[in-house]
Amino acid sequence: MPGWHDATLADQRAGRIAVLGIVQEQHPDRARLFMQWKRMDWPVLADPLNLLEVKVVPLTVLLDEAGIVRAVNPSPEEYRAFVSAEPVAHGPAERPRRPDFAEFEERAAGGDASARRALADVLALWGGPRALSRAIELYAALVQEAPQDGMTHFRLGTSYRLRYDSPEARPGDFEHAVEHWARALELDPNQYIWRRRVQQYGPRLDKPYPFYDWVAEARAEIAARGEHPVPLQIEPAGAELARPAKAFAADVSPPGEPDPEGKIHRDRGLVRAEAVVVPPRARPGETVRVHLLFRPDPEQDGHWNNEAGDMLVWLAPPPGWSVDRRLHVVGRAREPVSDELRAVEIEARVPEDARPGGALVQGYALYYVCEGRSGTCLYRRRDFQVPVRVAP
Amino acid sequence: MRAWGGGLVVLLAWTAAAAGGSWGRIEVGQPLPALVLPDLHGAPASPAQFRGRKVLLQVFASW
Repeated sequence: MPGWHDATLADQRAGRIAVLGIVQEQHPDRARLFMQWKRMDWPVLADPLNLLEVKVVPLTVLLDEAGIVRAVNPSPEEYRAFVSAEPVAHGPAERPRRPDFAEFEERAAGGDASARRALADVLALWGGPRALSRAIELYAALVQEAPQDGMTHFRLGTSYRLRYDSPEARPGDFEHAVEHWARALELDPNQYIWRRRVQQYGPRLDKPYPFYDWVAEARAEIAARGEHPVPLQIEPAGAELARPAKAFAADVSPPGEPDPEGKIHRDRGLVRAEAVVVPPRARPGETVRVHLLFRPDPEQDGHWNNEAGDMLVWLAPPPGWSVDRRLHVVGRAREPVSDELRAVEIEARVPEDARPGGALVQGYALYYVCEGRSGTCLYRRRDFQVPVRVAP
Repeated sequence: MRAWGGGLVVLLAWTAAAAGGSWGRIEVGQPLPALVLPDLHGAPASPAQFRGRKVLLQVFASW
């Protein structure tokens, strides 16, 4: 893309061409940082729902003065001929407006599936976090009616992930996102935009490249120029930064289990725990990435106690299975108490002789948690079992 | 995408696209679908606001 930017710079400056982008990723603000890094200042539209329905990126498209597509992925010669061509007749430029929700509601009320999907699209794109639940409801009803509709599965998954990243997050949102993205991909395995969404959070063996390793380099270069890097809404982490691997590296270190006899008292609900398996199903010999998510329960007024010690997470894979690391140490926030999400990501390999069905990756977390900001602080253990589905 | 600067990327994308319908709603000889999408600051934006100008549209992702 910067290649095209550089190649068209003289034409952009001379007003012979306008450059416009449409970004196909879950977190479009990351594209803002990318644009700042590469000093590209043309307008970019965000299409996280894949309304354009493209299956691959990058695509370079030439549009004439009337908005007609004249070429896709042109050669330099085609581009030159296009720029030099006489202008075609065209109507006036249109001033874009925010969609009128009432109009979409009215059309959807007629019951037509495409009108209901259009309503879900505008709610997910334009309604903000509070409209996501309605969008999810609409998409979910549509996939019930048409379970083979991959595009709606994809948009449903994307909306779940949008809600997961918002103040409206609900338990299970990330898991549902992955489930629907994976279902969409099963329905159309040639859809690389959808594939990348699963790979973004998936195991290293399935990664084409580290997705957001460029962020650190971009920030350093931007800061060195004396500019402030654009802040990101959601910081890339874990699988989003992980490098691809060609072979699974199992943890063969001697066991250093932190509570082998189970003596630490169990947490009765101060911390909520969730697990998300990516992809949701794996075949024998394949790997999955398990996202373990821990957050103090606001209803119990739970808070991490950061003055005592680190959180530990211990993994016990089923017989024949292996994990990349059995013991994880989770860092703490600087303030004495906090309530942030703590995430641990592990990779597990399904044995070659695993039978279709499922298995449980078990483990526990040990952490310091307080009952309220100034209440009693305790050291507690939370056991978990993560079901991993094995496909035939 | 990854190799951001290279002609190779464009060639590979073209090959993949030529393999079957990968351009989605983008069809040579037809108008680009009428889309109003948020720009990176959340304001409404559309390719139709560039009518009257030649446009090079990049469909991309930062990864």
